[in-house]
Amino acid sequence: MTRWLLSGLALLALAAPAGAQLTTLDEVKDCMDLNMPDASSVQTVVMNAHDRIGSVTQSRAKIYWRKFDGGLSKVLVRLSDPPEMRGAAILMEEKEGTRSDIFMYLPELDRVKRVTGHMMSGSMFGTDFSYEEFESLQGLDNTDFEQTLLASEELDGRSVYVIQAMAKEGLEEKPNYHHTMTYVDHDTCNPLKVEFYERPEKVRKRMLADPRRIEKRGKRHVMNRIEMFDLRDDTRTELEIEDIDFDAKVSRSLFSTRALERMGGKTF
Amino acid sequence: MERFAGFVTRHAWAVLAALLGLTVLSVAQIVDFGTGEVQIRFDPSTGALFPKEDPAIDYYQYVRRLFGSDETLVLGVVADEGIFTTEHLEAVVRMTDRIETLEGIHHVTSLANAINIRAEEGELEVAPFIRDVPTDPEALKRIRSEALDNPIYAGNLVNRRGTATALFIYLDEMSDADFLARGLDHQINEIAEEERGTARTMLAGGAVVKAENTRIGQRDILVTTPLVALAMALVALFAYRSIVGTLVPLITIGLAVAWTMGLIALLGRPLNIITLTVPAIAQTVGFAYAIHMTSAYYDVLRNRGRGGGGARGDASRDALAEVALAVLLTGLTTAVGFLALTLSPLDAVREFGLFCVAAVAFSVVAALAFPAAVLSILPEPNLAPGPGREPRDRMGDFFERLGRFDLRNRRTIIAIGAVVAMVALYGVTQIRVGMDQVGVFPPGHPVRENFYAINDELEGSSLFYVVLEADYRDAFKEPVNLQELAKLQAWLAAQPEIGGSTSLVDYVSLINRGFHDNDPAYLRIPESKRLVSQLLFFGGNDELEKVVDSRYQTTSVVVRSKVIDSGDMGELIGRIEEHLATLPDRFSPRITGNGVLVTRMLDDLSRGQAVSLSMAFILIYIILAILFTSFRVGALALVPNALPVVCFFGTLGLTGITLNPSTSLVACIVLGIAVDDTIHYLARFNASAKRLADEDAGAVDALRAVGRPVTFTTTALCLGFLVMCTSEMATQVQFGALTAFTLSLAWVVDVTLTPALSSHLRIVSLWDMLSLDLGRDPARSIPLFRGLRNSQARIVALMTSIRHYVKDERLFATGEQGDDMYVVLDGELAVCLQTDRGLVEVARLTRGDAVGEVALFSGIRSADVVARTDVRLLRFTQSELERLRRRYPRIGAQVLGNLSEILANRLIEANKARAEDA
Repeated sequence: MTRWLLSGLALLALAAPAGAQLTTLDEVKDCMDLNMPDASSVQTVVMNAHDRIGSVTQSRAKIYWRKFDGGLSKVLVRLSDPPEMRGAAILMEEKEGTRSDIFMYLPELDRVKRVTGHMMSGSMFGTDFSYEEFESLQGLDNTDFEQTLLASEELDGRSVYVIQAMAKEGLEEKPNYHHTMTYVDHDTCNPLKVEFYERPEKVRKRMLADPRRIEKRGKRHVMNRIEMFDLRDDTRTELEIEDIDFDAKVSRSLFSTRALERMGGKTF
Repeated sequence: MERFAGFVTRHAWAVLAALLGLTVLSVAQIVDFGTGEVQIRFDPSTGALFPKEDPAIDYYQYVRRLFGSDETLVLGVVADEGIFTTEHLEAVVRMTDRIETLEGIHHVTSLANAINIRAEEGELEVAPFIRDVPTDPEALKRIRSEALDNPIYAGNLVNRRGTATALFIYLDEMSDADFLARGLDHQINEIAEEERGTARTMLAGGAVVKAENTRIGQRDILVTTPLVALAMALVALFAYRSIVGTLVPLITIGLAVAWTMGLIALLGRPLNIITLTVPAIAQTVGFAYAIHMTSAYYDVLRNRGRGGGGARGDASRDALAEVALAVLLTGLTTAVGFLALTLSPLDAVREFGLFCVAAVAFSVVAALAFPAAVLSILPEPNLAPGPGREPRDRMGDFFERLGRFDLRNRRTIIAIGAVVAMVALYGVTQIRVGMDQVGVFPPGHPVRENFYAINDELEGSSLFYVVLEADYRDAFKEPVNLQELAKLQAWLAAQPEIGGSTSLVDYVSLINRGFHDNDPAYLRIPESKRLVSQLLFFGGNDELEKVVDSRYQTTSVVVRSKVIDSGDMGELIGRIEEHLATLPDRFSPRITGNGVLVTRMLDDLSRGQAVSLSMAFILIYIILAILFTSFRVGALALVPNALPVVCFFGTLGLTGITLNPSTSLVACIVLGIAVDDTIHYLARFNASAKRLADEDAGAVDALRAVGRPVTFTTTALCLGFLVMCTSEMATQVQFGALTAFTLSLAWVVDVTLTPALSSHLRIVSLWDMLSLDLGRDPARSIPLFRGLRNSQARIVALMTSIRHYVKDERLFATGEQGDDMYVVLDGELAVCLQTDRGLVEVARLTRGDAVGEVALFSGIRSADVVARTDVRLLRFTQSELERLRRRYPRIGAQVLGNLSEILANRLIEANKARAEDA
C-alpha cells in the first residue's frame, strides 16, 4: 500500500517514465515516486465529509511535508477550519521498518499526546480517511503489506497497472485490511482507484480519482481531487487541494512535539 | 334459485369442466410447472405488518440510517467463574473473528475489538480491550477492571459481575427472509458451540426470534393443513357415512383454497404472518357452505317417498334450490365482516380482509357449483326408509327436544345470556393489548431460554432510541446540552425496566478522561465547547456514529430495555414521552426503534379491531335488517352473534390472554361463521313458521332441520382449529383454542338463545317480499291495502299468511268457531246461508273482498264459505293484526283503518238490506 496516494496529491512526475510500458513493481513505484516533491511541500486541502443522510462537514488544513535524513518523511497537519479546531495539529513521523509515530496537539488542553494503537486505523477528523490512509497519502511507508504487480488492466478505457498489497502474516498488530488493490494510470502514474478489502471478497473502502482532474504541473502530474467511499457505512469524503507549493522552504524545527506546543493555537 | 339450480344440474359436465379449468389456471399461478417452484413468497417480518406510508416508520428508517440498526443479534458468553480468563477470552476472540467472516454479517463488536482508551505517560493508546489474550493473571485482572470501569461497556458488553460478555452482531441490510434462507442464526450457533470451551453461549435478537417463528410457522402449515383436512373428513364421514358425502365437501374446500391462493399468486403479493391464515379461512368457510349443501342433499333423499323416486339429478337440484339463497346471503354477511377489516390502519390487516373476501366469494361459488354438479351425475343413494319402517333421525329428535326446551325456558335462557354478557363485558374492560414475542415459545425452547438468560445476565437485550434533535448545528458540542443529555440518562437509569443506556455524554466523558491521563476526576463533560469539539475530533471513532450525527445536531440515547412484552413496553414509552415533554424547548425529542414500532402497531391493531368490529356489526345489522325487512328482527338476529364475540373478548380480559395479531383475528372469523348459522336458522324458521302456521312450531322445526349441519360444521371447524394447538407457538395455540372455544359458544347460543329469541317472531324476509305475488296494483284492487305502497302491502301479506283452497273446498261452516278472516287475492268464493231451503248462495266474493270478519270479533262463523274456483286468500287473525301494529305501526294503523272502513261498509250494507227487507 506504500505511497499509493502520494502521486495523487504530492505530485511531481518526471515525464519520462510515465506513459512508458513498465514491467516490474519497482518500475511502477519509481514512476509513482517521480510525482513526489523532491524535499518538501506545503499544501492547503479541504475535506468535505458526507454522512449517510447527505450532511456535509467541512474542514480545512495546511499540510507541511518534508523529507529528512535517511529518506524518511515527516508530515505536519494544522487545522484552520472549523473555527473551534483552529490550531489543532497532528504530527506524523515515518519510522524505518515500523509504524509511524503520530502526535496530536489539542490547543484547548495545550498538550501533545502520542497516539498509538487502533486509532491509527480509525477515522481522521471525522472523514473517511484513517490516519494510516492519510499517512500513505502523504507518502509515508506502510510496512504491514507485501506488494505484487499483477497484469495490467483497462479501467474506464485507460490502461492501468494493478498492484496487490497483501497484509503480512504474524504482525504484532493485525492490519486493518486483508489486502488492497491499486490501479495506477499508465499515462500519469497516478492511482485512479484503490480498493481496501476487509475480507478476501469484501471491499470496505474505495478511493477514486477522476483522470480528467489530473493537471500537469511542470514535470509532475497533479491530481487535485480524490474521493474516498466507505462502502460499509455509506459515507464519503472529498479531498481537494486548494493550493500546493512544491519544494517550499519548510523549517526542520517545525516537525517536533515541542514546536507543536510552542505554537499553541496559532496558525500560520 | 330453482332456475339456477336447474341450470347447474342440467349442465353438470360443463360446470365441472369450467371449475376444473379455473383450478388448473389457479394452480399454474401457484406453482411453476416447469421448475416445480411455489410462486407465493412468505415474508415473516413484522415490517410486513407496518403501514407503507407512516411517518413513524419513515422516522425509524431515518434514524436507522443516521445511527445504524437497532436490530442486532446478541451472542452471550457466560462463565460463572468469570469471563476474564485466558480460555474464555480466547474463545471470544475466535468467535468474533469467525462470525465476522460469515456472509451477511456487517460487523461484530465484542471485547475482542471494542475500543478502549488508555492513557499513560503522555501517550494515548486507543486499542481493543484484547489484542493478544494474556495468560498473566495480573494482565487479565487489568482487562477486567478496565472493562468494568468503562461507562460504555460495563453492563453492556460485560455484565457488572464480570461473568458474562456479549458479542453484538450487526447484520448487513437484508430481509428477514434472506436471514432465514442463509440460516445465519444456525451458523452463528455452530461457531459458538465449536469455540465456547467450558463457557455457555446463548444467541438472541429480533432476527433469531423471527426466523424461528417462521420455521415453526412453516412446520405448522405442513402439519396442520392435512390434519385439518383429516378432521373435516372424519366429521363428514361420520355425518353422512358415505365416501361421496365425505369427498364432496373436501374437494369443495380444495377448489376454494386453490382459487384463493391462485389469486394471491397472480397479484404477486407475499404472505405475511397475518395473511398466512387466509388458506385456513378459505378452508373453514368453504367447508361450512359445502356441508350445508351436502346436508340438504341427504335431507332431500331421506325425505323422499318410500322407494326413492325422482330422476337422477333431482335431489341435488332440489337441495341446491333450497340452500342457494342462504349460502349466498351467508357469503354476503361473512364477506362484509371481513370487508370491515379494510378499515384497519395496518396494511397487512387490510390485505387480509380483502383476501378473505375473495376466499369467501370463491367458497360460495365452489359450494354452489361443485357439490350440485357432481352429485347430479352420480347415482343417488336410496335413503328413504324401507317398508314399515319409520325414518329415524336421532339427531333431529334431539334438536326437536332441545327446541321445545328452549321455548319452555325462553325467559331463563335469555336471562342467562344477559348475565353471561354482563360478565363478559366486565372482562372486556380488562383486556390488555400486547405481544410477548419470546414468551410465545414454549418453556425450554432455546430461543425463549436464551433470550431470558441474556436479558438477566446483561440487564436488558432490547434496544431502542431516544432521539433529541436540536434546532441548530453543533448543539451537542455545547456542555449545557450535554448536561441535559446526562440528566435524561440519569432519569432513564432510574426506570426499573431499563438496564442501561449509552449516549454521546459517555463517549465525551471517556475521551476526556483519556486525554487527562485516565484521571477519574475527568470522567465528566468538559466545560467548553471548544474542548468538546477537539476531544471528539481527535478521540472520536466509528462508534460515535451510533449516538450523534455528523452535524452534532441530532443525538440518540441508545436505551437497553429489559421489557419483552409490548404492553409493558407501551407503558414505558408513555412514561418516557411524559418526561421528554419536560425537556427544554430547543430539543425535539422522539422515541423510536423496532420494539417501539411493534408496540404502536399493536395499539393501532386494537384501535383498528374496535373500528373494524363495530363496522362489521353495523354492516351485518343493516344486512340482517334488510334481509328480514325489520330493524327489530335485524337486532334480534344480531344478538346471538354478538354474544359469542363479547364472550371471546371477555375471555381474553378474564384469562389475561393479550389481544395480539393472532387473537385479533378470532372475533372476525367467529362472527362470520356465527352469522351464517343464524341466517340458516332464521331462513329455515321463516319457512317452517309459514308452513306450520305457528312460530313456536316453526322454531322447533327449524332447529331440527339446521341443527345437524350447524353441529357438524361447528364440530369440524372446532377440530380444525384445535389442530393448531399442536403448534409450539403459544400464539397459534391460543388462536386455535380460542377460535374453537368461541365457535362452540356460538353453537350453544345458536341452538338455545336463537330459537328462544325467534319463537315469537314473525319474519318477513326480503326474498319472500321479492317472490310474493299479490296480483296487479293491490292498493287499488284490494280495499284492505288501500293507501299502502306495494311493498307495504307485501309486508302485511307476509306478516299474516297466504292460503290456497281448491275448487269446492269449504273454508268454514256456519256456527263453527274461528278467529280469522280472509281477503280474496285470486279466484271466487261463494257465501252461503243455511235456509229452510237448504244452503243458499247469497254472495260471490272476488279479488279484494273480505270474509270472516264476524268471527274475527265474535269467534263464531255466521255463514258457510266455499271456494267456487281455486282460490288464493290472505288470512289473518287478531293477534297477527296486533303484531303488525306493533312491528309496523304506520302500516298497522292504515290496515286497521281500512278494516274499520270495510266493516263499516258491511254494516251499512247489512242495515240497508234489513231496511229493504222490512
